[in-house]
Amino acid sequence: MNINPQAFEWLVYAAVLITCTSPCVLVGLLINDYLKGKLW
Amino acid sequence: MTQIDTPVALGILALFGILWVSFGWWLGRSNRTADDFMLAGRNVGLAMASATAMATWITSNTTLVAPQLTYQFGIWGMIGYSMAALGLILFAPMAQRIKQLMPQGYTCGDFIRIRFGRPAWYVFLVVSFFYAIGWLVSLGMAGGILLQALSGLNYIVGMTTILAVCVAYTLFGGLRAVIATDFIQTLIILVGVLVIAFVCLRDVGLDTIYQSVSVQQPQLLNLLFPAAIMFLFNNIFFGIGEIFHSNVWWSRAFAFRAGIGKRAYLIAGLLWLPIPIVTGFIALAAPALGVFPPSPDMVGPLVAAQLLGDIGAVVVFIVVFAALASSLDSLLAASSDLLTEDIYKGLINPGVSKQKLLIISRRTVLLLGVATWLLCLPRMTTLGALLNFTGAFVASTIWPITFGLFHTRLNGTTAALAMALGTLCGLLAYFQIGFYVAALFSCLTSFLVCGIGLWRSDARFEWRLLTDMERDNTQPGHLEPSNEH
Repeated sequence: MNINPQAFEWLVYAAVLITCTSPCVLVGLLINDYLKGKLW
Repeated sequence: MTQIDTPVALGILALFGILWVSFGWWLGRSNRTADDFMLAGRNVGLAMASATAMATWITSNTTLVAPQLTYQFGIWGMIGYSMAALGLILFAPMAQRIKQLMPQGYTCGDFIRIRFGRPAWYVFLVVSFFYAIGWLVSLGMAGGILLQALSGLNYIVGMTTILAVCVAYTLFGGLRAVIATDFIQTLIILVGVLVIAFVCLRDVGLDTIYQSVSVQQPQLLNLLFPAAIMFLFNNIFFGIGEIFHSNVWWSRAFAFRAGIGKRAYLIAGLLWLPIPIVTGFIALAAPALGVFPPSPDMVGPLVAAQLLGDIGAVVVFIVVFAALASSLDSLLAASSDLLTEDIYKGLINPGVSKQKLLIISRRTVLLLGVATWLLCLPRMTTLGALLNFTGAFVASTIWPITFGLFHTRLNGTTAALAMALGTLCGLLAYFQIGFYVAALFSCLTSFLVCGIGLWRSDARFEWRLLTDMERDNTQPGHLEPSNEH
């Protein structure tokens, strides 16, 4: 039983979308820590 | 395939090498004590904490082995690899518990020794060092393979250069340098992986990928591919075992500021989850692009270089170098902590001063680098096989550690037996059935032994022994049976 093309598309697009948000989340946290003086 | 010129590859390597080493030296100037060097002062904030957990888990294996496994096992290969994120997610509450129980702890060996006593500690150290060396060699080999694939540079020259850079900046800056470089390396990896994925989607397209795979290698799209389903479950337990037992993750739990360990590991796990799918689906473009790699572990770099040409080869090179460095440095630092704290301080010189410990720690990083280099010289096996061989070892530690952290009744004998028998059964399964079941059998055996041990035992462990970090514990700290939990 093969995965259908739509499910394959959704899987890949969802993974790419979440990966796109990752750098934003990390930089946002970095700025927040820096402003609060809690980097280290 | 498209290769970059060897001088260009060496130039990039030199540029990033100088950058990482200088940054490491600059961050390491304020390291005065073993706590500073080994645990970055025990006050790391949420952003650095999340990024370092994520970057360390994005290894060369995520960028090279995830495509390899997708190429071999198809859909379940990439989903199975992404399930390794469960290790980070499930470690989140444990990180909080570890910091709470052992605010002055250094290594996971400290925990095993105090919680279970010396016999279990010896078994654990064997498991831990076997895994650490396996992972280090896998990373060192990946460095050599990458340079050879992308620039034609001799395997030994490439592997040596990457190892030397990582040893140098870990030596200068300790865990602080490791964590700070991890943050930058995470961003580089994410941007690089996304660039390759976007070009793959634009130039090849998911329709073409799906059609060509369904014609040329239809089993890769099969949701009932038995070996691949076994691999999925095996990889879940393997990933959990890798994280639960390894000092790479315990040292971070000790280093993070109190109260943020849980959130940091949770964020890292959720952000890591989709990355093997992104790197994996690129491998499925190989048939559509007419790429037929000489060995499966080359499929990722070959497809990316085919897609992006000269610039692509440079992007892949930088991404994999960042992924290698972010894991190699962490493993060097954490393994040297384990050698310094557990072997040198625990077995050779218990009365060592903190200042002397700092010197020993630096020397250990250097020695570990040399040992890894020697083991990487012969290119022994494929990356996936080497990595999965260690699965038999690490999965046996999942239950002893979990019950040991949260349950008072598991005693040292049971923990030692669970790890030893689990590893033996895992190895038996590895050689009799295949690499994709080693962790599964190891984890199940260990669970059964722990279950029997818990059922039979009426011992009670007193948690304050961990908080007090008692050093001379030739006997595990079990008290007489009581009703308190």
